[in-house]
Amino acid sequence: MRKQLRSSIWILIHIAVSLIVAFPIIYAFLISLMSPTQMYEEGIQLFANPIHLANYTDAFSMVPLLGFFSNSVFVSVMITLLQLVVGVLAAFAFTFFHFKGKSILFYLVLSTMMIPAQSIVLSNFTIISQLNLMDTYTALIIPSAASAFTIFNLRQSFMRQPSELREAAQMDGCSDFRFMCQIVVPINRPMISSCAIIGFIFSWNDYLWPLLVTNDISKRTVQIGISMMSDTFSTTYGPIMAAVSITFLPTVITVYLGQKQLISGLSSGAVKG
Amino acid sequence: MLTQKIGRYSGYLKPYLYLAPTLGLLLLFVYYPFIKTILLSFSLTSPAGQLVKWIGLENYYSIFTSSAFYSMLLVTLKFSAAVMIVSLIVGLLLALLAQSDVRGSSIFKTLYTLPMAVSSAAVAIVFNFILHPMNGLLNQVLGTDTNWLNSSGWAMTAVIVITVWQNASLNYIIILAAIKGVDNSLYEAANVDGAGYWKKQLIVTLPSISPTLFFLIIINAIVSFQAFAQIHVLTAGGPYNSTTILSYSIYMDGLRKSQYGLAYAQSVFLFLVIVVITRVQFYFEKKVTY
Repeated sequence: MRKQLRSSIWILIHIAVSLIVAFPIIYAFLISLMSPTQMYEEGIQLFANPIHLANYTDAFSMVPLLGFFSNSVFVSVMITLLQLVVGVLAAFAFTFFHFKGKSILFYLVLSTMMIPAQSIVLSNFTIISQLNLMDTYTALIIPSAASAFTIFNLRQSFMRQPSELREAAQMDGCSDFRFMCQIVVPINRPMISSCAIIGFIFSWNDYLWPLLVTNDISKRTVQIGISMMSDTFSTTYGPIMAAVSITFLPTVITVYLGQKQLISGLSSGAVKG
Repeated sequence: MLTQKIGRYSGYLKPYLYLAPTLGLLLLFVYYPFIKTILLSFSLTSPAGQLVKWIGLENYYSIFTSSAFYSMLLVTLKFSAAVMIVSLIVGLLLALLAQSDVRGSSIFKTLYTLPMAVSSAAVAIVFNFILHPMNGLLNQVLGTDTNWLNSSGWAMTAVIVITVWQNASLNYIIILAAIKGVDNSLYEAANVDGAGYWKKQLIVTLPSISPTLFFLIIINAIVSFQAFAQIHVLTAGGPYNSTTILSYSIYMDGLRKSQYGLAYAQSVFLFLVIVVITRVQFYFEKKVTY
């Protein structure tokens, strides 16, 4: 009896806390369903009555939301894929090869984590505009294509492989490249998917860099697109919240499906086991 | 004979081929701009950010003698201190709460990780609506008609709340992982001593995860120095620069006012601040590790 009471108190606390934690996300969704007339009615309006789905169609007609959205999908999927390909190659070299300058090069890669993005963003911007790459996907994608965080995490994971595995592969005449593709990558799938999830979330949410290198509306990502929308149409909250809810969706789904990988990836470097 | 030789050379080259994409990208988009930033911080720049002439320490002299720079640093310090401490405490409380294994707690655990995964820009738009002076939710709940974002104190609070809301969830994830790593026999020993839930957290969990908590303070400091989207969307650094932190000031001076030299000098300053913070962490970590 007492135990039951105890656990129901815990659940009540959980419910209260999760309502607070998720409130901005839930609230955006609730408002996205509300008609403009209801929004301006007296009193606190939380639940749409009737449900006004026109906000969603309005959001797509007010701004080129579909274009913003597909730009973001393309850019963040490309960044994620490139980070993995480039990262697997580098982590493989740092784990399985012996060569001159290995530790210096590894240090050179890791130390890029010490340089805050904000302190090199202006120089990067002038480099991109000198190369005439403003308003291109290349400008949005390539500067993020190598991630020291990904390389570090993948190397940590690769190093857990027993060395007999490589010796056996070498005895069988398996080339290094095949060993990497057919053995190392499949075995390390958990860490690779962690890196993919983290890479996708961060590139989807990136704001400063796409703000700097895009002026053309056809190349804007969704983050910049919705903040311009909220600047321009500051009173039409229904469609704005509809656009915001759509923007939340990809990363919210990613967290829901990949929570375990997200947690293990983020904490692997931080927690000493 | 010749093929053997080629084979041996390609063997030497192979590791570097695997590393070439990484090194190329990092050299071009991290090291080159980094060096360029340092060099141009000693120069007079054109409105496009290009070198006009070398002027030595003049940019640094300008920022370190301007009172605006010091009030901006004070704003940054307030912001970072609040974000560092509050997100750690909230993250810790969330992790302790998630420890209580009640039915359905996995749903709640997922919910607590959400804030770090959603975009700061989108969340700032939602807050903009909640804080609306006319029919914003906060004014409706309180029965007031305050223009929150027009007051420097409230604008700062709003930016801190958004940043803490997101960053506490990152703290939560890492603390939760650290708690999972705590040796179970320590809890059993505490059980034998008859310790209750909170006592166990205090005498077992906290001391065991203290290296992680310390590490998180550093991470929080670095994250707080990167805050941009929420400031840009919610306050644009205002009112009267009351929410202009160092990273936002770099953006404003460089891109809005085309004073690249000053912005580059502040960029170097930001880098040095991060270096000092990381050094301090290494120093204490050595002292704390036993």
